[in-house]
Amino acid sequence: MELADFQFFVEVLVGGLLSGVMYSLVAIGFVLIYKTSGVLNFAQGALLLFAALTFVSLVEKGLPFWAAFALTFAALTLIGIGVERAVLRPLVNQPPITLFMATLGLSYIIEGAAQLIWGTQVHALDLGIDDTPIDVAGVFISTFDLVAAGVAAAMVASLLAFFRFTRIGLAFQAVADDQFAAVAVGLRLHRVWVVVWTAAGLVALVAGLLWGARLGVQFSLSLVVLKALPVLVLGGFDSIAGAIVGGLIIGAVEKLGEVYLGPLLGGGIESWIAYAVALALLLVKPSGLFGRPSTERA
Amino acid sequence: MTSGPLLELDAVEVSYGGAIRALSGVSVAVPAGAFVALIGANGAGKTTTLKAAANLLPVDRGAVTAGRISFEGEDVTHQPVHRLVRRGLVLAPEGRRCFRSLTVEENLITGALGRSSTRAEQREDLDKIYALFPRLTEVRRSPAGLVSGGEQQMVAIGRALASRPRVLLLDEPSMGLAPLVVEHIFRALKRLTTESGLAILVAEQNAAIALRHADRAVVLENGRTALEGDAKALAARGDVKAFYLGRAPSIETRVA
Repeated sequence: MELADFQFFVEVLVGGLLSGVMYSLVAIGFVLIYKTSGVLNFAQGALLLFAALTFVSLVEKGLPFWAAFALTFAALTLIGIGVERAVLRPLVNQPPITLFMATLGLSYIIEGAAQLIWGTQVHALDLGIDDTPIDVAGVFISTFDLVAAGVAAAMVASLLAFFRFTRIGLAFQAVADDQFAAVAVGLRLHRVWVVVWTAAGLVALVAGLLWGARLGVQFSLSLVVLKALPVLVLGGFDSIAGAIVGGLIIGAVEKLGEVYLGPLLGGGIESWIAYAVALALLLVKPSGLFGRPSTERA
Repeated sequence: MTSGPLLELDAVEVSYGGAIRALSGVSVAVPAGAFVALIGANGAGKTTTLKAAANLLPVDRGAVTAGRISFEGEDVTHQPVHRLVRRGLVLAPEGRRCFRSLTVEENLITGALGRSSTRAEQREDLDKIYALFPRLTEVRRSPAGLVSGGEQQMVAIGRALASRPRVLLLDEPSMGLAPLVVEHIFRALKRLTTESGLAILVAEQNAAIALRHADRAVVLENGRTALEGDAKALAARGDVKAFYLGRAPSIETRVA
């Protein structure tokens, strides 16, 4: 391979990995809720849209960045509390499919509410990040992608630290491991759920801003969840590490596939190759690469 | 403090899913500092009785339909679990159910999370648990899913003790464990009741060992209290001996 080819390969790979970090970010929102309540929260995409739309509308009303961020986060916290009270609590001990249907309904309610409050037009979101590519040893990398990946990585790291080193984090892991035993030792499930939904809301907010800045804030934004699904299948629905690695793999596969297989197969690969990879893995390893580490004696 | 028993189940009836009757008249009294054994055949209602006392039935869609459960003389039949734990009534569930991906020490700490304890108090509690089960000291940094069955049972008990209970409900601690390990655990429990005044209600399939260590015992049959009394006296009775320590027709048919 000639140097120029190799540089091009690296450029594609890095671009893929950087967008993969953003997939990871969306996927982690799912993992948090799945781990603690066994529910695939379909409303994660609607939360993301709601967050981005609320933020951009507040900014357009003249609020400074951090005020808009804080207000949006407050709104998401209220949604988290509301969901726990109105949906999770009454449906406790119901089968997972019931809860899944509830989150499906919830996602339309949240989207509808967002539409009702902020209207339906497309908003441009400018986070003030310069998007000129920078040159690293002949490889061009988008500044925006780099910053977005950095923010996403910082977000993931702080979430991991929160769940690793705080009391509520310990309670979170206990609930994820064994809900019944967690209740039996006196942990308050409802409190853990509120915290988890709030954390998922924060993830949705950050992901919503990054994706919104890239794609524009519009209703199709809630469809980025469809990008998260293959990541979850690949990494395992209950593994944060899996969501990170899965996101990176999917990101890289999409870009490499588009560039190197696209000409052979006629393009448009980026939209389905992630699912093909996820399906192939499902056949070999149904619980995903990192699904439920069986911490059990053989 | 009241002068009556610390924990009392009075003619408790339980059904699951509003249809399946699991208990139809269970009465159990646990005085402060007592070691009470709950024995009976498979399906007699031992686990349900403990879950009713800990108000953990709703998880299995069960409910207390009649009778009364009181703690320190107060009706606690519908009190939320976290409040019961805070007041000093905690269940170490059947099958141990340790948090497998957490380390042994983290498991123990989860028991103290419900109470707003300081780090120093937490340390003190951990030291007590390690003193009770020295084997846990060596595996404190291992994931609980990877330690032996006996150690997991010690973790489950230790985790419950970390909430500083006054009554410990313990479901089938001998399950799947070697007799020596079971003996070690029961000795430790007995020591707890005599030295720290903790009361224990232990459900056991292994009636022999339970009756040997307990002060009092309650025999359940088909969801009701069939016999109740001093553990040594019960163990000496011909029918109990024959049915629970050997083989014979049930007590109900004998007594009736």
